[in-house]
Amino acid sequence: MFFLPPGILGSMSDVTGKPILLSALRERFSGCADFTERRIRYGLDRRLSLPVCWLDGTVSGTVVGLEILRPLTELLRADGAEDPARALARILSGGIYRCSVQRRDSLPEAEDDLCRGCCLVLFEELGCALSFESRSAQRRAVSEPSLEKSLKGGKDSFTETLRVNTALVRQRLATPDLKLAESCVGRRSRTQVALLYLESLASPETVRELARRLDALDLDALLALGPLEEAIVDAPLSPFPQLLHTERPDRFAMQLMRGRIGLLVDGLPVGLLLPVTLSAFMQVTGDSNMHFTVATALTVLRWLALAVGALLPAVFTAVALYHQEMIPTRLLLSVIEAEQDVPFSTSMEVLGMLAAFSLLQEAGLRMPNPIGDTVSIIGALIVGQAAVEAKVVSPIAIIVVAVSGIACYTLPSQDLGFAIRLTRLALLLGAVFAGLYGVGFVSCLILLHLADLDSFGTDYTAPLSSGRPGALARLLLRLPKGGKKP
Amino acid sequence: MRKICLLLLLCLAPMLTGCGSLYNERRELETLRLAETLGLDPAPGGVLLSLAASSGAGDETPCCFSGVGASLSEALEALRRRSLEAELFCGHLQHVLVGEAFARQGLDALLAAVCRSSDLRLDMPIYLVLDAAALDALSSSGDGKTSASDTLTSLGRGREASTLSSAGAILRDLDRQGCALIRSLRLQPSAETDPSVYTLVPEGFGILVDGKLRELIGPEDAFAAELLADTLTPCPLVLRDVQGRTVTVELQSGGTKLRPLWGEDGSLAGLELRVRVEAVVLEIDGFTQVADEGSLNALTARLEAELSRRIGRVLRLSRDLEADFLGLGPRLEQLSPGRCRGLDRELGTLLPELTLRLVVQGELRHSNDIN
Repeated sequence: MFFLPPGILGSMSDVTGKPILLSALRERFSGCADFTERRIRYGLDRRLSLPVCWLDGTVSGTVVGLEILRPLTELLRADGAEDPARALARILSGGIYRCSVQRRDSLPEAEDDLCRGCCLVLFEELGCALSFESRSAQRRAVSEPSLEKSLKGGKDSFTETLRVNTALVRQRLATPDLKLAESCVGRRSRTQVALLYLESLASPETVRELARRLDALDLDALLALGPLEEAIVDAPLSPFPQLLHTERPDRFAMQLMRGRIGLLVDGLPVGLLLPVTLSAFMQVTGDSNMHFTVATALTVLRWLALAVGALLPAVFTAVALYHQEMIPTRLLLSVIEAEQDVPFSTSMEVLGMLAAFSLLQEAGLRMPNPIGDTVSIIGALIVGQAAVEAKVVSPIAIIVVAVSGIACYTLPSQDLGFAIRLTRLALLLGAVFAGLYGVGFVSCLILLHLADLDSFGTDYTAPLSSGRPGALARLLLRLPKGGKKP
Repeated sequence: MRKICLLLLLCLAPMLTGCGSLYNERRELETLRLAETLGLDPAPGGVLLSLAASSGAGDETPCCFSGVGASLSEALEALRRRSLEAELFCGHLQHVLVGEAFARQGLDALLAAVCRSSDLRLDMPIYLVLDAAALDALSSSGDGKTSASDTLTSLGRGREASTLSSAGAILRDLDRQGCALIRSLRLQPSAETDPSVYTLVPEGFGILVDGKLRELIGPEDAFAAELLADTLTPCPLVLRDVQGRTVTVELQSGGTKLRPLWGEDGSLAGLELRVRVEAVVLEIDGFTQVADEGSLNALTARLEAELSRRIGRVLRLSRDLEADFLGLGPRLEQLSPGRCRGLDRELGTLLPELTLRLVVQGELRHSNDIN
C-alpha cells in the first residue's frame, strides 16, 4: 500500500529560510517510507536530545551505526556538554570521526543532503544540522566499457556515481589544473552535474557560457541526457550530435587535454564533451594506441564509411532509376536479371529494405542479448534469404542496404550513426524524385547545414572550414608526435 | 527570413540547369533491354537499323531487333514503337557494325549521329562487315550462348584492340586527312564443330575516303598497314628460306620512322620511310637449326624482302587513291611544322608526285632455339 504525501495534491510549499527542525523534515518527507529518525541522548547527563535522521537504503548502515551513532552515544558520554552550541563545536572539532561533515543552516540544504545519502544530526535549538557523508557503498563497480571497446587502451568505464567518475578522470589527469565545478540541475531531481576542464587549456569564455547555460536550465528532473543536451547545445533541432559522448575515462581525459570541457551527470554512466567538431566524432581512443600509419588508414576508412553509409542507397537508386548509362554493362545486365521478377520498383525496394534493416536494428537493441542475436540472425539470414528466393527483393538491393548499414556501424559515434541514417533517408528521397541531381541537391543542403552549425563558438566542420592549406591532411592524418629520444 | 529566402532560391535553382527532361527519363530496370550492338544496312528509301539487345546476364540469347526508316533516328523510333515488352535502352551501345553496301554509300549519317546523339559515344568501335549485311552478322553469329556482341567485346579486349577504329578516330582522320581506316570483319563458320554456327573474324581494313568505302586492305597486308601506322600487333608471317623450306616467324614489334625529303626549292620531294621490325622464329619445316649467322642473315633478308613487298603494296594503294589513310601527313607536320604549312595541297594528293623511299630493317631472333 502506498502512502501518498499530502503535498502531491497541492503545490510545493516554500521552505527557503526555514530552520532545520525534525518536525519540518518530517513534514517534507511525509509519505516517504524510507525516512528514518532516531533520537540520541547526548552527554554525561543525557539531558541533551539530538535527533538523527537519514533515508534508509541511501546510507551505509555500518557507517551510520559505527561512525556516527556510536560516538554520539558512547564515546561522547563523558562529555559534560549540555549546551547544544558546545556539543556542536565538540562534534565539529573531531568528536565524530567521519571524514566529511558539513554544517547546514537551511532546510533545502538539509533536504538535499538527506537525498544524497547523508546522515543529519539536528540541533533544533540552534536551527541547524550537521550533515555526515555516509553514502551507501552499494554501487555498480567500475567495469569494462560496453560500447567503446579498445584493444590496448584502459578497460574501465564510467559508472552511475558521479564521484567515482570524477575520481576516474582525476586518476588520469592528476593535476590541480583540472578544475571541477558542481551544480544541481532539476527542481525535483536535484541531480548533481560536474563541469570538468583544464584551466590552462579550456577557453574561459566557453566555460563561463556553459556554466551560464547550466544555471539557466529549468528542468523538473534530469534523469536522461536528452533534455540536458537540448538545453545546452546551440542548434537543438539539428539531427547531428553536438555533444561528444563517451563512457571511457581515458577518452574523456584525452579530450580535456585538447581543451574541451567535460560534463558528468550523477546517475548517468557517460561523460559529455564540448565544443565538438564533426571530425571529433570520427576519432577513436584506440587510434592513439596504434602506429600512426594504421591509425591514419583507419581514419580514412571511417570517413569512407561515412560517405558510403550516407550515399550508397541514394546513389544506387539514382543510378538505377535515372542514369543507367553509368553502370558497367555486365553489371547492369546482372542487375536487370535480378530485378526481372521483383514486383516492386527499385525505390520501393530500397526504402523497404532500409525500413526492415532499421526494424531489425531496433529489435536487436531492445531485446536481451541472446534473443537480440537470434533476431538478427533470423532477420538477416533467414528472412533475407527467403525474401530473395520469393523474389520480393532483389539481391542487389539487399547488398546495397546491408553495406550501407555496416558502414554506419563502423562509425565510432552511434549518435553520428543515427544522424547519418536520417540523412541517408533524405538523400534517398532526393534520389527517387530527381536522380543524382536530387542527391546533389540534398547533399548541398546537408553541407550548408553542417557549415552553419556551431558548437560553443567552434565551427562544426573545422578544420576544413578554416580553408587553410593542409586542413584535409590534418583531418585524415595522425602524424607521429616525434619526441626526442633520450 | 533571410535563410528561408535563400532556401527558396536554392530550391528554384534547378530550373536554371536545363535538366527539365530529367523527370521523363526515369526508367525501371526490369523494363529495360540493353542494346549492345548497332547494325546498319541500306534499305529501299532509307536505312535498315538492327540492334542486338539483351535483358539479363543469364543464358538468354540476345534478341535482334530491326527497323527501317529514312534516317537513323526514324529507324530507331520505328524499332522502339514495335518493341512489345521492354524498352530498348541504347545508353550501353558498345559496337557498331556497318554492312559493306552501307559503307560504300557512306557513313556520314552515322558519324553525324555519333557527334550529336547521347547514346552513341566517340570511343565506340565501328566495324565493317565484308560481303554480308550487318543484320545477318548480328542475327546469325553466335551459338545461342554467345552473340555477335560477345565476339566483338572479346575482339576489343584481344590483340587487335589497339588497331580498332573508334568512331572518334574515324571522325578525326576524315576531318584531318579526308580518309580513314576501318577495321573489317568477315562472317565465317566458327571453329566449333557445328557448321551452322558463325562468328565474326578480323579481315584487314577498309579504306574510307570522304566517308565512303573505297578500297579494302586484305588480311595478308593488314600488318603492313599496322606497321606504317605504328599499331602493329604480334602476328605470324610465313617465309621461304633459301632451301625453299617453310619458316614461320612472329612479328613482335615494329614501327616506322618518317623523314621528309625536301627539294632544293623547299618543296616536298619525297618521303623516306624506315620500317623496323623485330621478329622471332616460330617454326621451321623440318628440324633445322638457324643458329649460324649465315642462315639467320639469309632469313632476315627474306623477311625484309617480304615486308617490303607488302608495305609497298599498301603504299601504292595510298598513292593510287590519293588518300593518306596511313596518317603520314599529320606525322610529317609534327616533324616539320613550318615547312608543312607551306605545302599547297594535302599530302594525299601530293603522294603520286612524291618519291617514296622505303627502308625495311628486320631483326630476327631465334631465342626459342633450344641449341
